[in-house]
Amino acid sequence: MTIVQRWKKITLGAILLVISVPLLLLYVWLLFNSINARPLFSLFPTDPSLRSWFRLFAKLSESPGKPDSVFPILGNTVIVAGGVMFLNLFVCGMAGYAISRIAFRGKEFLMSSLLILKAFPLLILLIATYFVLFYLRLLNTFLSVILARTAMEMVMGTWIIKGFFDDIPREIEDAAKIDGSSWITLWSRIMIPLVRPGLLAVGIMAFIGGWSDFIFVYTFIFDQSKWTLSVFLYSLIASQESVDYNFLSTVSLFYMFPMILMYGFIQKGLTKGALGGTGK
Amino acid sequence: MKRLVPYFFIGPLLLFVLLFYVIPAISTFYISVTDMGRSLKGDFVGISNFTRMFSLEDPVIGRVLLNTVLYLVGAITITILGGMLLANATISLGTKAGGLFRLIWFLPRVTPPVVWAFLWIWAFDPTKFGLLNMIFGRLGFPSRSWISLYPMFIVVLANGILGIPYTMTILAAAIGNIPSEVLEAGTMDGASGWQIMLKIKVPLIWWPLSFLIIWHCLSFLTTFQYILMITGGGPFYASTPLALYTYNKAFQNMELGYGSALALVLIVLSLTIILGFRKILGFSRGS
Repeated sequence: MTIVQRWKKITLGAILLVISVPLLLLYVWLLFNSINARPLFSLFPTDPSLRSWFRLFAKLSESPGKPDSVFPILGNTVIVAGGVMFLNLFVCGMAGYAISRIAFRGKEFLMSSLLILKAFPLLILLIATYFVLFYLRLLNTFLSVILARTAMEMVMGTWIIKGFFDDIPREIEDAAKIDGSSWITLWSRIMIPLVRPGLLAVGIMAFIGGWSDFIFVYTFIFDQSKWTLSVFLYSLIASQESVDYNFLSTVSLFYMFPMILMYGFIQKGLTKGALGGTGK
Repeated sequence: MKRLVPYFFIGPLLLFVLLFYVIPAISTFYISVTDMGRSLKGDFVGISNFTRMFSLEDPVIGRVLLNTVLYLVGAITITILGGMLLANATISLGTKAGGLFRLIWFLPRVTPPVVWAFLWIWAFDPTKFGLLNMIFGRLGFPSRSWISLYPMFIVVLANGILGIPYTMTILAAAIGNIPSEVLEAGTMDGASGWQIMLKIKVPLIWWPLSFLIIWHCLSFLTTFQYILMITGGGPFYASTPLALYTYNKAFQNMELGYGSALALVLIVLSLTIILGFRKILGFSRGS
């Protein structure tokens, strides 16, 4: 390596450092603030304490209608995220199979529509979705968020699962058909177990989608007893009372941690999914 | 019987497409010609919602449209240039140091929207507890209310940086696929780093690059949740782009009719972008 090349590398590293350190600091301070007794005023925690974490798991508020501890809120979040995950797996597992394996009329049209929907930002239909949910009498229920979020996640999911079905050799299916299995048995007993890695990736992505959702819960849910962690955290940020940054950091970390775990788990599969259908 | 089997399998998907794409799209047309309000019932008012938009009856629409353009241009520039810089730099730094930086820059992607908004609110908090004011205080400067001073700048930065991880991942994969002989040949011929970048790398990754630009164009045009949480669109309308304006009209003022008319503009814009660039967005058959 020549001296010029080495200097180039050092300069690059320095530039990266300058733009990355502020970002990293935000997260480091999030952690430090959650384990400090008072708002952080220096680089490192000055008086370490788990006060905020105890406060998180203690009784939250006395006012009626509001969740009295973080556990019901956590439960609501799990219901929404789990609902999105299961519904999404069901929809994508079925549709992905048909699109990959069965010839039917209108398939070409369906596939090109799906590709358009993949780029179509569902949020611009929010007002009309609210209107539709009102007539379905679903406003202010978890189901409204679960359904809307599934509609958002399912297009990509179907596409990913279809890719996994595409990779299964035809012979396996043919052998089962000769044995006289019905379509349902063939799908549920033989094909679905073969695409388990795809289902895992799509399931986790859908769970993360439901877990992190803010705008649907914020718009469709009115009762504070049905708050999820996202809207709960937002209510703390937006409240007029004096803001306790130690507590906010604690709630943020508590909310964020499962997502980091799950992302770490599927990181490899994600890159593949992100590139799927982009002419690669 | 057997002919119905595939429709049984795609049935749930079709039901969702119908309920959450087709019917809402049609309903948007319907609602946009009514004066629908809180009761979700409205009377037909013809095209008055649209004339209101394009006349001077809505005095802030000009500001909103200007914000939309500023926001799109600013956020896309940050996302693309940031992603490009990180993809290039992390590749030339090698797997160890480069991987570390990529890990750091993956953080925004694993951050839930509300937490991301919180980080920005906290960083620019007007009191001395805000991160920036804390640093300024240590240097002996007084606290400033950053968010009301530079709302548009902060909103653009928060959204633009959020796009970087995705851009970085895709561009790094694309640059990694360029055969090293091509780059070496460039170096041998005496091309400078910038020349290699502009004349060799950019043309070779043109396809994913334009995909990312269009993708983010659609995404920034229609997402508003970070702005809603960080500035609320204010002060006054200083940081309200069209998507947030639509949301606020519909759900804050409960003017669903006018909101839908605005949403229709967004739908037309998005569909134009999608159909105009369907090739680049990967709509060619067999992909």
